Amino acid sequence: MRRTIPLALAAVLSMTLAACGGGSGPAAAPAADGTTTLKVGTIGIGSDAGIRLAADKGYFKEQGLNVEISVIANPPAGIAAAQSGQIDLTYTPSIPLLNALSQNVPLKIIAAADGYKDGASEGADLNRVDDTGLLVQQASAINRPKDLEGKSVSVPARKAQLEVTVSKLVKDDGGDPAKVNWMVLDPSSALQSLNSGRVDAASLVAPFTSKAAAEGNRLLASPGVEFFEQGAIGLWVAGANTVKSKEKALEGFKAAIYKANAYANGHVDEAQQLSAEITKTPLDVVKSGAVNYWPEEVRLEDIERANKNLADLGFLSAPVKLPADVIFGK
Amino acid sequence: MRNVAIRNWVIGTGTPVLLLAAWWFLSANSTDPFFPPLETILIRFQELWLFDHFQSDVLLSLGNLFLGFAIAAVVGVAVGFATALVPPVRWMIDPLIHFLRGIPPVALVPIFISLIGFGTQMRVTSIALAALFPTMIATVDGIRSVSNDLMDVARVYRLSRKERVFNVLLPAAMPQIFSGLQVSLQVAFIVMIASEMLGSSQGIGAMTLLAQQSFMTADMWAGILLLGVIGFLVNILFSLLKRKVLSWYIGSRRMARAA
Repeated sequence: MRRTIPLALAAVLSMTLAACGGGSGPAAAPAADGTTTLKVGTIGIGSDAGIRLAADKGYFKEQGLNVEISVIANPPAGIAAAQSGQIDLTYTPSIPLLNALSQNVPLKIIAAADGYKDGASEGADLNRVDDTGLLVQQASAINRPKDLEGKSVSVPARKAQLEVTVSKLVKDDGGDPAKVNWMVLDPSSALQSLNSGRVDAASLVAPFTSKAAAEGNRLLASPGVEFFEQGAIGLWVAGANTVKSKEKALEGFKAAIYKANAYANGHVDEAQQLSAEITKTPLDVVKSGAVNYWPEEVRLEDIERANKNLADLGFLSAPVKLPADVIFGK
Repeated sequence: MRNVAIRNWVIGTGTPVLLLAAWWFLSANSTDPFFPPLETILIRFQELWLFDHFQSDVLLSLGNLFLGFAIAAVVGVAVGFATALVPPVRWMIDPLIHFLRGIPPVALVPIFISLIGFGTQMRVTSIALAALFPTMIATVDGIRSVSNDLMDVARVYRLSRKERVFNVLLPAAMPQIFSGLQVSLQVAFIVMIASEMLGSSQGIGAMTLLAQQSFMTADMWAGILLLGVIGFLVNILFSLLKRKVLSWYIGSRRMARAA
């Protein structure tokens, strides 16, 4: 009994200390050779080929930048790290970013990381542009999103991109997303559970979409492109403090990323080779899935569309009031 | 002696109160989205746990915890006895035990998902398996350290095997078994939270994780606070039980010290 008290004390103490620690990012201090170091968090997905090209082709060096890429567990963890200044930039889709902004986490969008070409949602083969997919077993009785009511559907995380985008499919089809039984599963467990019938549908991201299709499952819908339609989805985001202290370096980052994005769009084969390396997936699996698109700008209207959709679906009580300068350099 | 006890008690309860007060005042005007004022956290605590999600999430988590822990306790003591008393069993499973106990229980969760799905069974199995080893190992150690004199006396009295196990070995090993159970309880608590990261998002751990991922930091802190409080209460309950079951042992120790 007496032994437990110091433990409880330690817990309270560490919480207090954590509460006291402020989030002051490291100031911009160019190294002796004039380069500034930027620490960037990514989640290790295929579209990271963009930032890898910027590093490999020397675009960051041209801007006087030394970019250190590290892999973060998930976008919310990256946002927390970027806000506190542990890293300078993080990859996040627009939905976690909007969630964070709605809770007054001060963040700015620096550049686009991935997304859909304008007019992508009007194409015939949505699965060639959308790297997310909703899959069911070949013989499943689920034939349209509305059929998901009362069924179990796997998502990588709750209240995140896949749940939101699949919810919109269900709602647009006249169903009630609240009646779906959401299950949190990592992609490989999700695929296995779909094959063994433990979940009725799985929402997956490339390369697992192609793997699921190759194992005989049926693509029911492409939730990403139907939700976002077009424009930037994956974003490079920095904390407001970092924007203040490293403005010039971030301008350089933005220029280098857009140069790399343009290169990637023009050299898809080379980018897919990199995607295969990053995700440790055979090249033919990458090639059989969606072709990534790397936008060369972030438009406020695209972010606002996602914002409005989130509020319509009830994930936000009201659309977030986006600050006028939420997109860096606009 | 009496004064020392009172002083210890004041230090024991006073320090957490002081720290809570410090937390309250230091965080009172916080605008940092990750460190909301304690007041906000407590309001969310009341809204979430008293008693909106009490049955659907708190009781669910605690049910898994106690079921898993109970399985671990019974199986751990039984296998511990078998291992300590029957040499062939020991030769058979000793290497296996030491292989399995080295694996972090949390790492086994994905394997359980592929074997038994992600429902309540998976959660209880993960908890039980992880909590099994501390109890089992403590049981083996407890039985091995029973003095030979005691066993000689049992033999002289011609106690049956059953009597020897239940009337001599079990009570004599009980203090160590309880130390093992206490460690098992802590492990069970950790795995209870970890097992809620996957599958249906019900339970205290799942809700806290969800709050963290959607930047509802006050909810997240409320969840952490609840976990702390539950951990604290469970430990107190366990200590009370231990004091009751082991009162003869605590008494004999006190006598021995006084002598």
